Amino acid sequence: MAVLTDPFQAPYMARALAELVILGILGGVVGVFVLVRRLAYVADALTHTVFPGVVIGFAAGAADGVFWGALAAGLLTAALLTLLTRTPRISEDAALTLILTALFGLGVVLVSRRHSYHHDLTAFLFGQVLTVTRQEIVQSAALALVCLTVLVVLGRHLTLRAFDPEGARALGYRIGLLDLALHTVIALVVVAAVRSVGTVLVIALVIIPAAVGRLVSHRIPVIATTGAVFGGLCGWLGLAASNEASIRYGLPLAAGPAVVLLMVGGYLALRVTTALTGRMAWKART
Amino acid sequence: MPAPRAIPSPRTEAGPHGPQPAIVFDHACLGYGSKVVLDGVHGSVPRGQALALIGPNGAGKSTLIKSALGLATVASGSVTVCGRRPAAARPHTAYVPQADTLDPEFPVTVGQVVLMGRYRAVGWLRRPRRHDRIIAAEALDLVGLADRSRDRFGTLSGGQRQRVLLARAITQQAAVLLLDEPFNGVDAVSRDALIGALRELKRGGAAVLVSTHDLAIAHAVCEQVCLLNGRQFGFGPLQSTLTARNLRACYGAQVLEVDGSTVVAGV
Repeated sequence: MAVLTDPFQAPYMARALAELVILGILGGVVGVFVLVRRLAYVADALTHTVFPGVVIGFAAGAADGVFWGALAAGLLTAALLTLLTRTPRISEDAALTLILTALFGLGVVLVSRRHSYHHDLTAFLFGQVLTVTRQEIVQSAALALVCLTVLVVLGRHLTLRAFDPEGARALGYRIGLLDLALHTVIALVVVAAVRSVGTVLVIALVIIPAAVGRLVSHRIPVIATTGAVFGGLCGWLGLAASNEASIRYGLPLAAGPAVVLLMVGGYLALRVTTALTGRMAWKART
Repeated sequence: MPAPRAIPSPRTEAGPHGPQPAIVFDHACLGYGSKVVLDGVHGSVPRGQALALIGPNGAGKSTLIKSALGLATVASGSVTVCGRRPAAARPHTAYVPQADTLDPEFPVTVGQVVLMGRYRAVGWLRRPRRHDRIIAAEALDLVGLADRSRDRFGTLSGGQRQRVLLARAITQQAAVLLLDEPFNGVDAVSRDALIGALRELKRGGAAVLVSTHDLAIAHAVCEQVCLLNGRQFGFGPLQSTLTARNLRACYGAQVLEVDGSTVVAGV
C-alpha cells in the first residue's frame, strides 16, 4: 500500500493527485452525456479547437494566459457548433470538421511564427500534471463545480433530449439551448483537462470511464457514479504507477499516458469479464 | 385559388351544438420551411373522439401531426389546438413517436421513459415527486406493463415499447393525443392493449389523432377519418368518408374491391 500513498507526501505529487482525481471524477460524469448523445467526436474536436486559444493566450499572458485563451476558444467553439448544427443542410460532423480545421489551422499559423513555443506546446499536446500549481487546481475545481451543477440540474432534461429529440421538441423544449448547455460543459471539461493530460489524451478521460459505467449499468446516475469512481481511481493509481516506474525502475513513464493506459486496461478487463460472465449465465440458462 | 366545393366551415367556438372542438384545421396548407407537403386540410376533432389519418407512405400524415404540435409550418389557412395556435397549446398536447425511431441500446428504464412525460409539469429545477411517480405508475398500468418498470426500455418488444411511449403521453394528462403510426409492426397483444388504452383516454375526454395504414384500427377506435395523399381526399365520419371512390382517388390503382368491401393493396 505504501506504493500508493507514500509518493503523495511530496507536495508536487499531492497537487498532481488532486488535479487528476478532480478531472477523473468530472470526466466520468460528463462522459455519460457524451456517450448517450454520441458526441465523442465533438469532445475530440474541442481538444483541437482550444489550440489557437492556447497559443494566443500564451502570447498575451504566458502560462496564466493559456487557461483564459483555452476557455475563450472552448466557449466560442461550443456556441459555433450549436449554431452550425442547427443548419439543416449541414450534418453535425461536417459542421464540426469545418470549425475544427479552421481553428486548428489558425493555431498552427500563429504558432509557426514563434520558435519559443516549442516546449510549451509539447506540454499542451501531452500534458504536464506534475507541474500543476495550486491556482490551477482551484481553476479545475471551479470548472468541475460548474459542470457538475449544470449536469445535476439538467441531467434528466438532457437525457430526454438525447433519447427522443422529437419528443422533447413536442414537449416544448428548446433543443438548441439544451445542446448549447451540453456543448459548453464539454468545452469546460476539455479546458480544465488539457493542461494536465494534454489534448491528445483528454478525450480518454471523458469516454472511457463512461464506457466502463455502461458495462455495469443501464441507469444514467449509476453509470455516472461508476464512471466518476473509475476515473478518480485511475487518476490515483496511474499517478502512483508513473511515480513508481520512474523512481524505482528508472522507466520514464509520464503520468497522463499512465492514467489513460490504466483506463484502457480497466475497460478491456471489465469487457472480457462481462462477456465471460454473460456467456456463463447464458449457458446456465440453456 | 377558389375552393372547388362549398365546404362548411368547422366550428371554432363554443356554441349551442356543443363545446369547442379540440383541434380545428381550417383549409390548412402544411409543410416545412418553404416546402409544402400537404394541402387543403379542413375539419375538426371534438373532445372525446378520435381521428384516423389514412394515406400511403409520404402522404403527409406525420406532417399533419407535427402541425398540431407547432413543429411544422402552416403556409396558409390555420391549425387551432384547444383554441390556441399549436405552439402555444403544447402544454395540452402529448405526442407519441414511433417506437422504432428510438435507440434500443439507450441506457434508460421503462419507468424513466414514462416519467419523462412529467418533466415539463415538474419544471426545470425541481425533481419529480411522489405525486408524479404515482401518475407514471398508473399510466404504465393502463397500458398493461406495470411489472416492467425497472427493465431497460430496449429489452421490450416493439409493441411493448410503443405502449410505454403511450403511457408517457398519458402522464402528460393532455387534452389532445397525437400518435404517429403506433400500430406498425405491433403484435396482437400490444395492439389490443393500445386500442383499450386509447378508448379509455377518449372516455376521459381526450381527443386523439392517430396515423395508421390499417383501416381496421380506424374502425376500432376512430369516429372520423382523414384521407391524405399530398392533399386531403376526405375528412369526416368513417362510413361516409372511407368510400371506394375516395380511397381510389387517394391511393390510385392500389385499391381493390374484394367481396364487396374495399381493400387497399400494397401499402
